[in-house]
Amino acid sequence: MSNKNPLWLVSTILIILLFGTPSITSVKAQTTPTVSVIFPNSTNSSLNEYKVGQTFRVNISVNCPDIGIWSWQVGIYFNKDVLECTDLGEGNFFSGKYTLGFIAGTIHNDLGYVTINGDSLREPETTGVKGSGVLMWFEFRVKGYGSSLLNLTLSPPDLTCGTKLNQRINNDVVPISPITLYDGTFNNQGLATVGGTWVPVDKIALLAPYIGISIALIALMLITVVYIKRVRHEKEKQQEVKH
Amino acid sequence: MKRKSSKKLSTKAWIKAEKKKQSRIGLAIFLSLILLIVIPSIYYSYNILSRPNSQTIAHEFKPKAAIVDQLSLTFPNQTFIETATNILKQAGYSVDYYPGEKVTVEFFRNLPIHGYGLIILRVHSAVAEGTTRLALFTSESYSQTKYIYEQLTGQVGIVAFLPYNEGDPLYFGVDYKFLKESMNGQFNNTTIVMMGCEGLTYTTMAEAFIQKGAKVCIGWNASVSVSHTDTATISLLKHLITEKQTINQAVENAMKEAGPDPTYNSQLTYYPLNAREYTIKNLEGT
Repeated sequence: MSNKNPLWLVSTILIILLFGTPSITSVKAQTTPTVSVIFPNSTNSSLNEYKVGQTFRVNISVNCPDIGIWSWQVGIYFNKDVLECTDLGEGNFFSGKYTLGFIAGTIHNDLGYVTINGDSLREPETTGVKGSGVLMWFEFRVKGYGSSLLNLTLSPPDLTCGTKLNQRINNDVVPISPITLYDGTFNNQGLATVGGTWVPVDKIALLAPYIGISIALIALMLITVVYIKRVRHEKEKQQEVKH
Repeated sequence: MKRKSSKKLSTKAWIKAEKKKQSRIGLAIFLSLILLIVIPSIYYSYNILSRPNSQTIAHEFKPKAAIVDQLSLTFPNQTFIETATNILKQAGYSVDYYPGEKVTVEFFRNLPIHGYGLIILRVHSAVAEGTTRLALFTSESYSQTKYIYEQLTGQVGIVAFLPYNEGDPLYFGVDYKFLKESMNGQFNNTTIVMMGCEGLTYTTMAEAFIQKGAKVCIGWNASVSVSHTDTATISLLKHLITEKQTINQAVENAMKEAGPDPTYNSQLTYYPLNAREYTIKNLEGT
């Protein structure tokens, strides 16, 4: 009898609705890949940690959990008055995979950038690498006090600098878009000393104009004396000839 | 007529007259050459050696303070200036602020005549390698044609900021000899705070200040970073001016609060050591 109770039926349906296996599968949002500049302090900024003359490395880390990266390129801009790039190398992101080999960019310390570095998977690999890791690293020497952005600018059309990730779809390699770039910030302004250095005074150079004038005057005087003597001597000679 | 009469003259007499004439011309040329040498020599000697006569301007002691901010050109810190000015004004001081561009050799020459009781030198400073000589930086660009006497006598030197590379801007720096020989007037029991590097690594500069009438010099015994010297000086002023602590207490407390420079490990100290029990109040009274 109790089975015919409508209340029992409603509660059964509710229980099924609440705890039953849902027929709709959840759709997980794709995470936007990120590329970040990471200092040894594990953040993307370094404040008052490095004096002039010291060197440090930054890792270019990638986080791409949902899309397989087939190839990548990284370039970087920096303040040439504060930093100079002394070395660079490949990270571990593609380690153990078949790759074309790391292509190192050109360091332009006079202009403050490094042209694109990169690497790409090759066959027999068929799919890109997902997850996180270090694409590459840069070593910088601190040459001055101030601040510098370590700027992973998106690739400009001429591909001289900039950062890009690519995926492989069928046999085509296409850029992953969008990607988020987290630049690094370097600042050591607070460590600047309120000192300086002495530069020796060149006392000879200081007196040079006065020494020059004196020599010129003495020389002029001597020339005049010699000239007068000569004129006098000639006249005497002429007198002697006359007589 | 003259020709006729000259014809009558004997040849010997004519030669004599001619010789006399020539020697007169020669003498005239020689004298004008001497003048040519003497006049420029006097002019250049005047230029080289002339410098303003020592001035001693009598002044009454007033609670006046100066903030000499040569660092404003390279490391401006408005917060420091405002905080220091407030501390001093609240203690009854009138405060004169000198921005970087006003800090020249001439400025240092006349610094004592203003009658400041407290001078805060927010100024770059550096010890010459292998010596005990400290230079206080000016913002005046170096020139070979200026302060020649002072340059030749080592009173002013050439200084540059670190890191120094050839071609970087050069400035005049004043040495302790400049204080002794070229500074006008006398300080009036003035307290000097040298915020730059190595102000008291050696005591030559401090001794020169004391000889010129300053009572005490407070400074760093090694290199110091700009942020640290600003922090420690504010702490020092609070203890020294607001709380009217003795020199020794104020310096010790500032060091307890700010600590030694985290990068260069320098410490704030003072000279002479017998000024340890002075307070700004009794400095004003002396």
